[in-house]
Amino acid sequence: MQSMRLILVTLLVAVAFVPSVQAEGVQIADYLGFAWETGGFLPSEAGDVFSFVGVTTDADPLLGVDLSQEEVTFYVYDLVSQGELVDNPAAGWTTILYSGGTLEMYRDAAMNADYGTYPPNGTVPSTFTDGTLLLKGTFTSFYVQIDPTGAGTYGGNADGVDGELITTCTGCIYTWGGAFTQDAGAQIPDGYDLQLDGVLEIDPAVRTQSESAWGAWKASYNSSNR
Amino acid sequence: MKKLLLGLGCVLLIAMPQLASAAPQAFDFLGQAAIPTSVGGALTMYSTVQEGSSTVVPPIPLDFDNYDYTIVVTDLVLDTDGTVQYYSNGTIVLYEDNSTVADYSDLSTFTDGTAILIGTISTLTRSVSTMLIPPYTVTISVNGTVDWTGGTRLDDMAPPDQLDWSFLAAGNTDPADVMPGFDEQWDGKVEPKEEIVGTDDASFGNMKASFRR
Repeated sequence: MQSMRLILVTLLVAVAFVPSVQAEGVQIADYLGFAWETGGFLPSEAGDVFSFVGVTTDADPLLGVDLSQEEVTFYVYDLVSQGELVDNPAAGWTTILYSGGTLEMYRDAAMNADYGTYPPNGTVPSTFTDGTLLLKGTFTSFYVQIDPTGAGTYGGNADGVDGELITTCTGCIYTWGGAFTQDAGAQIPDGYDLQLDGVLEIDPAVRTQSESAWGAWKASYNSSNR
Repeated sequence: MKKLLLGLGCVLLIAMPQLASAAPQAFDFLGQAAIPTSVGGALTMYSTVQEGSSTVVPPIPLDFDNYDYTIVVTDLVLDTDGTVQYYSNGTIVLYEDNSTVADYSDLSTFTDGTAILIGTISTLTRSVSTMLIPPYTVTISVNGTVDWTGGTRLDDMAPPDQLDWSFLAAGNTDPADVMPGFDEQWDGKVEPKEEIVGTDDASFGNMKASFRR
């Protein structure tokens, strides 16, 4: 009987991981925030450390968050610059590749996120890291590109290592968006270097772990082990 | 001496750099863009405006509890093609609507409702860069200038505040994120370069009294 229960649990897990309707889209959060780098940006010297805090402006229902009642915040840290290079001389873009780095995403009913000025400061990162950990990922790649106007893009891949949303998965997190300096006409609080406007995506194969599906799985597991 | 101190105080007030700690203002959008294939063609973009958060607020108050908001760009003419494209003379409209939900399979759902801000995109550049090193990503950056010239809420902003806004976006060509009939997903915002200050109604008498105080 115990082995039968084990088979059933395994089947339930398999069902939970089957990708749901692809047309739903894999983008779970649209966010906007600000980044800074030790020593300033640009230039980005090898060894400079890039950090970022942001707040979600639109969330997929998969997150199960009502943004009028809770805020979803981001904190990205320990991204180490490999130095800047002119990757595409014809276009004049400056490219910076980063190593390391961790992304954390929290839900928080206090709704107290405050950028302040000249981070880190009394509210950064503390008001972006309170609440419940939704997602933690370690970057496997991250880049920033800036064109001659001061506008650019960024993107990065990460493995999921912790959080309410997903626990572990490989290459399952992707974030991309626009990176804008003040030269591009972006509003940026004093002491920050870039405005980042981006989207967080989760691989369809793991994003099906919605709270209800995960809860159902845990309940099944618990009952099978009584 | 008092005059000297007062004068010095005024100079300091004017010259002190402002510590920008107020919430930045932006119409934050997520949309779909159709890119023209040749010079003379027009770029269009249909998008929904995100509600924002306490840390990024719309430049003029919007009622997201009762209305949906869309931003639509049309007639943005491609003047010069290449890895950096130059566009001019487009129209941008911010619509407010409480009757239909925006649906990319029916673009009329983006343009119904009230045009609360109407503007021109005088110039816009769209730069495409393919990284020559790993991860060889194709990145798309968009940077334009908006002047608001009409709409039912134009007067919520002082005339100098209506001009020279930034249109900033990043593009994504992942087929999973691009809707049929479009070429790119755009995540971006339209924002003033400096904070827009709200207006308060006051009688001329009150204003004079304030001045005397």
